[in-house]
Amino acid sequence: MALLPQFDTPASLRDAPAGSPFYAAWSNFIATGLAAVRPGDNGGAFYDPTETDVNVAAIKTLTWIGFPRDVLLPGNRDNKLAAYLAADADVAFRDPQNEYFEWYVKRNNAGKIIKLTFVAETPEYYQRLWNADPSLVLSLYQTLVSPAVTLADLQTGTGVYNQLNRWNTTDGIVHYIQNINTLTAALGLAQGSVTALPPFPDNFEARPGSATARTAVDPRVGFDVHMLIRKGLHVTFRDPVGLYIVDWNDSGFTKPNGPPVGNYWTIVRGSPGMVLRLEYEVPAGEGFVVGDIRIGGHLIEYGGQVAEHITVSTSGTAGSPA
Amino acid sequence: MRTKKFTPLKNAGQIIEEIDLPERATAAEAGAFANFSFIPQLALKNIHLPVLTPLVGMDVPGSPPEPVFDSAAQDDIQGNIIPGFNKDHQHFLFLRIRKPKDAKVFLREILPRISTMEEVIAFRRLYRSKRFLVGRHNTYLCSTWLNIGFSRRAIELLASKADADAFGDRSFQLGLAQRSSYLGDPTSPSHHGSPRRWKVGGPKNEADIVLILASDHVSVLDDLVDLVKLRASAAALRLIFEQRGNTLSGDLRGHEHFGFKDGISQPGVRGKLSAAPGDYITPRYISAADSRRLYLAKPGQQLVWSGQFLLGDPRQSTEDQLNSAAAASNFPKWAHRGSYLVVRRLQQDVPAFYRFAAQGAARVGLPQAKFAAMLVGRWPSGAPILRVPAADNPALGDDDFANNHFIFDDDARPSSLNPIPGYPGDAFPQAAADFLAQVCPHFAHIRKVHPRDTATEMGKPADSFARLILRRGIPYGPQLVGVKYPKPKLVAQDRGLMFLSYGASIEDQFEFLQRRWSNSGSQPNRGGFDPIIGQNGRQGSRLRFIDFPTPSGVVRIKIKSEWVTPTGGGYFFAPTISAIRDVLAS
Repeated sequence: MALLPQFDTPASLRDAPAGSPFYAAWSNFIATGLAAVRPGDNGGAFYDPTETDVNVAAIKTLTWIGFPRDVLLPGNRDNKLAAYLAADADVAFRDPQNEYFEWYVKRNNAGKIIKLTFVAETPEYYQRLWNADPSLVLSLYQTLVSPAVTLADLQTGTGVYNQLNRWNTTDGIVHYIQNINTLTAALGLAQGSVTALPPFPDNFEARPGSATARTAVDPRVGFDVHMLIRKGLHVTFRDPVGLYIVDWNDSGFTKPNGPPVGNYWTIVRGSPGMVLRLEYEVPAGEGFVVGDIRIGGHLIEYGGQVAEHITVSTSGTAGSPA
Repeated sequence: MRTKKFTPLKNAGQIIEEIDLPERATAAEAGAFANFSFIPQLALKNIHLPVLTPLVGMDVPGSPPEPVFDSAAQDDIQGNIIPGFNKDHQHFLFLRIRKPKDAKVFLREILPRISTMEEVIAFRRLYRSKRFLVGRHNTYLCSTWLNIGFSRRAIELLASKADADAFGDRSFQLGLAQRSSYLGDPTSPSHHGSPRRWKVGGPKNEADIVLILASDHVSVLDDLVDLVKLRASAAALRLIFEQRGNTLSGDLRGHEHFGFKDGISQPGVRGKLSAAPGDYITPRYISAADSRRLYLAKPGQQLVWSGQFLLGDPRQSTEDQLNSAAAASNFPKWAHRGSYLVVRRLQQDVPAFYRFAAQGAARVGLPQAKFAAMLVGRWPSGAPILRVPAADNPALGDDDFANNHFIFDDDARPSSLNPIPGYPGDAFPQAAADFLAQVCPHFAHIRKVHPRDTATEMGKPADSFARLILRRGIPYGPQLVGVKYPKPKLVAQDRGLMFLSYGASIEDQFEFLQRRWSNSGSQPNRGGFDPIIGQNGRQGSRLRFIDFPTPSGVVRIKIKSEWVTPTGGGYFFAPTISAIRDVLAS
């Protein structure tokens, strides 16, 4: 397989005009985050596909739950309501939402949920888009959150992009703000999983660096990457590198009068299998709102009740050096 | 350094074709179905019997101390929870309480007949030693057991609303009928799997009490059933539904109606029967030199802390496969060491399953038996396809020290066992790593519900230990598989599985396995729905798919028909005998 000429944008988005330096900047950002080759156990390695040629043998999609596992387990093992409440609580920083998946809950005056917005978009993407042209970011905010967004809302006094602006915190959502939800962290997590010395025979005994993390994503990536590495494989992210919403399951979601709900999901950014922004809202004609829906008999009161039925993913390739 | 050259997969990561199988059989297929030549004939003769005598003498070195179930505890816990009745003939009575006071009288009457953990373990030991001596399954020993479970409503009627409310399991509180659509069950009122049409457990025919009666011999079981029904009737308990279950006959004993050996992989409950060294509930066979002794009882049997099945005992840590976690406390005190019981009457459409297997096999160019085995993950004998990918191996299927010995992501290391009298050792081919799911696909039933060493969407493999359940199912209805020329009347008869499971959380164990894994194309790993028990209830849809690995790439096969359909059941609680005596019957 030939070297990858350039890293594509997540879900191959084209938010900037063709020819914009943004695309090269994005590719450089990914390349900077990947070592050319990072040797691991048993001859395996993590590699940068723009610098190292590998005969790809397999593609593996790593999936994990969108709801923050460490909010539920082990502390709230017997109290799911407390976990839902905690996961929704921190609107300003979304600190509990640490699975590379964040959401915003919109309620009506009666306090009922009317819309849920789930994102898997990284701050690095918006930062680089801002660097290329702030008006591109403004335009996205206006489309995704509110036409009322102004450039002043999105920047600090010195013109720096403010990720914690009101439209990405208290009044809406565009991309991750949680401290460790960054693509840089994801790249580091995967590459940091290459060694787990001494050479363990299987996942029951292996202890990759993230083995003890209580989140879902860290051990998922850690165990899977090390499993491939210890077979002597060369592993990297599949292009377009990104974190994606890959699946959701609304079976058992019922209308107020009992039958199953309709399809109330909208893929706003990305594409099936590589969804970056997903919205859940009942069409006006239905006569009820999200907060009137029951899941397996339980009324939807928190965004986390829906988030636990959404699957997040990233894909990797594995092979032998060419 | 160990490096392997991996042959690149063709079209890796792509779905190269989507197959839409016809819902109706072609004329040629219909001809094949007529004489049932499409159902594999099983050859399970000349099987040696494994020896399962308890090994007493030494605790597992380095293993954390486990709870001791003294004689009083063993005499209090219902025996179908631990170790399980495992009887060839079982009868299920689903009762509705009309007069709580009369129901209490009934409970006091049957109380001495409720079989305990101690009785069932004692009989099992006797049976196994006799089986070893005579060399046959049929020892002519006979025991007859009875166990019981109560719905939330029953607890409210027999104890109090406060007692019923104190059960922390939210699914138990709601009941199976309300949770049905969450499990992906059919929701259309015209579908025979809709709760409205269930034989028991629907919105209008929920049972308060389930009685499980079991025996080695039909005539003895019949006598007990008659007696219990008589007493129940006298106590104004309305019989909503009853179901006889029988193991299949002959070489298919222990198999379910599609012909596959069932119940092979059960978790090993941690705990001891006394303080004596090595006196474990689940015998330990892994040698002291093997690190797997710490988390396996025998090859492939994962050890799980008893609190996953008995309320109030130390639970399985969700973070660490070896250690325990704090006991649950979200239940009334008297419910200590009881267990949630899930009952599902699952109807099986055997012709539909094999029609799909025949059509699917033809489309991907595989023998039908191999295709069907890939749907399950095992051959009909129980032999795992990871150990014998090419063809069934009945000797492996019947070897309890070998038929569960495999993992998915890495090569299985040969097992090292303590000396076992009469066991020659596991000389079958070892399972090779199948991390790309080319041999045992991600959708395969046994890989879906028991991902073993694989990381899942919940993260570390240790999390999966806390999802396991104790399965206590038995087939119902007349046997079809293996019958060469069945008459249409036999084909049309109702058959399936009385699925029973015990666990400390319905939501985090049984429901988790059904909804999050079996009913998902992407969890715990991407590759399709469980084609055996998986259901798709999204927006009322029933369409499932499997991503079938072929030499040319992955073929997505759509599944429009269904061959496992829920037709009844309920969520119950199985208390200790003292709890029944002192609370529910008092």
